[in-house]
Amino acid sequence: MKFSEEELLQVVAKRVRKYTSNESTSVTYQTARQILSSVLYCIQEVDFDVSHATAYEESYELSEGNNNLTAMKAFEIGLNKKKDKIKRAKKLFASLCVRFEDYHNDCYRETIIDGMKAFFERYDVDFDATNHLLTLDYPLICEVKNIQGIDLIYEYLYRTSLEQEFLGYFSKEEVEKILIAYHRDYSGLIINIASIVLRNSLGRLLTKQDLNCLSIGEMQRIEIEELFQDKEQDKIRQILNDTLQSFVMEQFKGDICLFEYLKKDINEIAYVLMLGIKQHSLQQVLIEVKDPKSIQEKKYREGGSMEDEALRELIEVMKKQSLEARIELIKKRVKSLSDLKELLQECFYQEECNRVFALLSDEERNVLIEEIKKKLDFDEALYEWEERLIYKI
Amino acid sequence: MEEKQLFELMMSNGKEQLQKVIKCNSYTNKFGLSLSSKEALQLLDSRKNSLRQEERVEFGEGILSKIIYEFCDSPFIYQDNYVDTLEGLQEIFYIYKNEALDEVTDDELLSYMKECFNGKCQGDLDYLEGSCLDAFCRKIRSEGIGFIGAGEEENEI
Repeated sequence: MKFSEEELLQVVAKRVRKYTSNESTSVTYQTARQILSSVLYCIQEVDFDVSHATAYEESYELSEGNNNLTAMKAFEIGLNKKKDKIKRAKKLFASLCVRFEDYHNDCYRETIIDGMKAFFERYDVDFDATNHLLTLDYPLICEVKNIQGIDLIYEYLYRTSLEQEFLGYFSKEEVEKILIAYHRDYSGLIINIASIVLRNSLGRLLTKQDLNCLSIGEMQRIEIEELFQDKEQDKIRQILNDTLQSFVMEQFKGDICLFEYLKKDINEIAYVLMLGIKQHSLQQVLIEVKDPKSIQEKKYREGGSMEDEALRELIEVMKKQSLEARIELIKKRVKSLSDLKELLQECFYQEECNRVFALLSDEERNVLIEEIKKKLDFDEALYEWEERLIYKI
Repeated sequence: MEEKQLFELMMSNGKEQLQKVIKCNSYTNKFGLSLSSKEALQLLDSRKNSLRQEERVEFGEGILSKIIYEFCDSPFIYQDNYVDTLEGLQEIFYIYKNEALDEVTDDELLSYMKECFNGKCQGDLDYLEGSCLDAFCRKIRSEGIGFIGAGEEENEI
């Protein structure tokens, strides 16, 4: 569909008047640009129908129908389609949230749960449709490119749901063991979890191991090395493809979409396997879980911290209370270690700290001790309560 | 087509604009003010330049007619300074729409401009631009639209 500049600008002019509620006769270039982009984005949606119609007859009918459309009508149809897409994206997000597992990775949780909520609250399909607002920091197996706005968000959510479907096959504990073995502080890293799990799961399948565990030991690495040693990358890729296909056919009822999506990582996996074999560093590519105890520390999850003002108020109140009263207040009001640390610094002295330590779970205690150890590594001075905890005074 | 050219294409037909500005004469005549076609064209040219400079796009009939209707009864405007004052007010209007981050409507800004122009500025465009509107927009940027300076005491600004 082709519209003249004058036709398009008439649509933009009308949209600008709506944007300003007829209360301004002018807008900035930036605003005009934004509204123009929104109009073109919506009109493209109608063009898309024509170019992506599957049957010749369908395409002809759409094209014929669309040739009679004015720019304004095309825009209105396109806008309605985008609004429908927002509804579908919300449904997809809602179903994703039900079973979403972030494996304690901050970036994953913040991008999907926090980020998407904010997107649906603030996305302006009427006047800023191409602005998808989010930086989408969490990297997918295959990044979404060359699309904008709600189209991008929908596709991102769809790919996330595929990755979650794949990850859901494995036990949460096994996935977390692999991640900890990959990097102790994986929670704070920006990594794609599905890719790490996919590599190891393919390694297990190639060596005929079950998938109740994801770890790849030395024997399996040697086996894989022997399997791929003299093969070109193309051949490695083919073997990985076939293995993945069989796995998805059997365990995911032949879900073609899932297979086609996971397949996008095969090139990369083939390349790093080949490199790992050449450089005798396959243990960097296929992860071995060596320290089962390390999973314990990662079960701790920080609760909600108080607002600064509320915390200050609590400190002032506690300073005037007896030890027993202060302990009761900790039990009732404190849900996060960061708040507890502030209170230990300000409101507890000498042996009193030990009464607070007695309230901690093993996980909480371990987290605090690890933080204190890091301070010691950097020669930082410790607070009194920190010295008591680490040196068990 | 370059963006600026595209946005300039958005602006109303020149002939239409001219007619609308000339039409204002039927009202402003009672205040002893009128514009010739040449003067009206000069103002419309000045409008284009100001919009380009301030990177704004105007739709419909634009703000010039509104400025004329709003200020024609000012005691500080007479036939000799009519065109220059309108040109100045138009330019100031676009500058301060930007400065106020489009947080004020056209009517709100014009109303405040008129109050200051006729009041503390005593018809001085430089004082209007450099002092009153500057403070007005700073207040809007920091306190939001809840603050509209019209009617406030001088010492509060």
